[in-house]
Amino acid sequence: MFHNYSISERLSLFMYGVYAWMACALAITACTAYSISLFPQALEIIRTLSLPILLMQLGLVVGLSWFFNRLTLTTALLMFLLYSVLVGITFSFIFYVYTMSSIFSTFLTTAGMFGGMAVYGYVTRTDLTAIGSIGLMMLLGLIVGFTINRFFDNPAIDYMLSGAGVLIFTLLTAYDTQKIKQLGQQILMNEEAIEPGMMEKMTVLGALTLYLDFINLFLHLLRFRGNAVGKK
Amino acid sequence: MMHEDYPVSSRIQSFMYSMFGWMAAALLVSAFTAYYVAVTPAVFNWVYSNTLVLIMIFIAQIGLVIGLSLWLPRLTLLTALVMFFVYAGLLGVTLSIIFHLYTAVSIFSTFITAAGMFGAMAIYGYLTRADLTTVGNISVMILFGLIIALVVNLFLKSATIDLIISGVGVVIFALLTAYDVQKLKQLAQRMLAEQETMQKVAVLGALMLYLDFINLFLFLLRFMGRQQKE
Repeated sequence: MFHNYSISERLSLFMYGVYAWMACALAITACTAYSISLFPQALEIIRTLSLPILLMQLGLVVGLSWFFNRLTLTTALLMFLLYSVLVGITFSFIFYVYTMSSIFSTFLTTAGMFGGMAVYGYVTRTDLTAIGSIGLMMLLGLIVGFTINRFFDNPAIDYMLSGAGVLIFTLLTAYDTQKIKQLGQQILMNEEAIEPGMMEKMTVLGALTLYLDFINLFLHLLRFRGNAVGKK
Repeated sequence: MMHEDYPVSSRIQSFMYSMFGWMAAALLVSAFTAYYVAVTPAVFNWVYSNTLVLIMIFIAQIGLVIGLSLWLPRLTLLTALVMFFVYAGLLGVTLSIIFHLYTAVSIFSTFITAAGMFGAMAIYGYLTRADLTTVGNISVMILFGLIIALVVNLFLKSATIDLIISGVGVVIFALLTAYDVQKLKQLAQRMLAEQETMQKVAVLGALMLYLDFINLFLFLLRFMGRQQKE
């Protein structure tokens, strides 16, 4: 009953779908952020609207992951792409805080690191479950450190925490890639038991997971090595 | 060993007891250290007037969490415990700052609230027959979104956004507590054969729940704590 070849072929199609949506959302975020940063007036409006924008962002992530089973493919996709636009809007400020060249080189570095870890997570035969649990544990520790440092506002500690954040999200990228691949395999193996269209919808959730990994990696890397405007 | 005579369920229980025991002990260490540093001006000033000391403490904290979770299989039980308690002590030193920012009453009532929420979610996670994997995955995804919002708000510095982020953080860490307890219980069921490993896993589980609790407490404090007037 199983045709191994066609399963592995369809698994790569599934992964292509995940990366295509993720890349699409990243492109939207980048374009939105850049075009808004060109208009200084828009930035003022966004500052005043930052609260509803952030609320909508949180609402979209909560809604997407919570009601995922009940959403249609189109709705899920629209929510995801809307989310990427909103993230782009809030990200427009980084063009004011960091120099253009450092944003660009940080983006390239992030893409390289992300790509490397994604390939590793996809190809490796090592089970990364332990790495994932460790990554999450470190993330919990990082958030504690982060919250405490908001009381101190110490830039040196902030710098270190950003470095730790880069390490953590690198690990999580590899782990998430492997998890998504395994999820794709599971769906393909039990296709009869799973409702039609689930596979396509899963690509959206997978894309959101990797998109969040990428954005977090980028932000922590930017804070770790980015040059602020006005500094040499 | 002699443990093999016990029925399975009681061995899982003894795993859970030692895990929550270590966690509670670590919390006590943190609470006492925090209080001691806060009321001893000599120590407090030494730590906080000296950026280098503060940085060393943070480096040690990051190193201990990474070391504990990465090298657990190679550590002895005693080393793992020592690292865990040193971490709890160091975290207590940095936590002492909250006694200078928030009123003692509000720290105390936040602690009681956090303990109540944590206890309820831990019991739920332990007893429920519902599979919490989905809840866990969703919470982690929301947590990722929350970290982005947190970092972005470092630039925006909006107090209202901070309040909302703290509120959402409280919900996420309450859900993660239930999920983690269920996950650790399932882990214990799978590892019954290996006593030695199980004791070390109890330390790692205690660290995980300890971090859940501290996060819950800190987000709750930012959400409902009353700041001291300058």
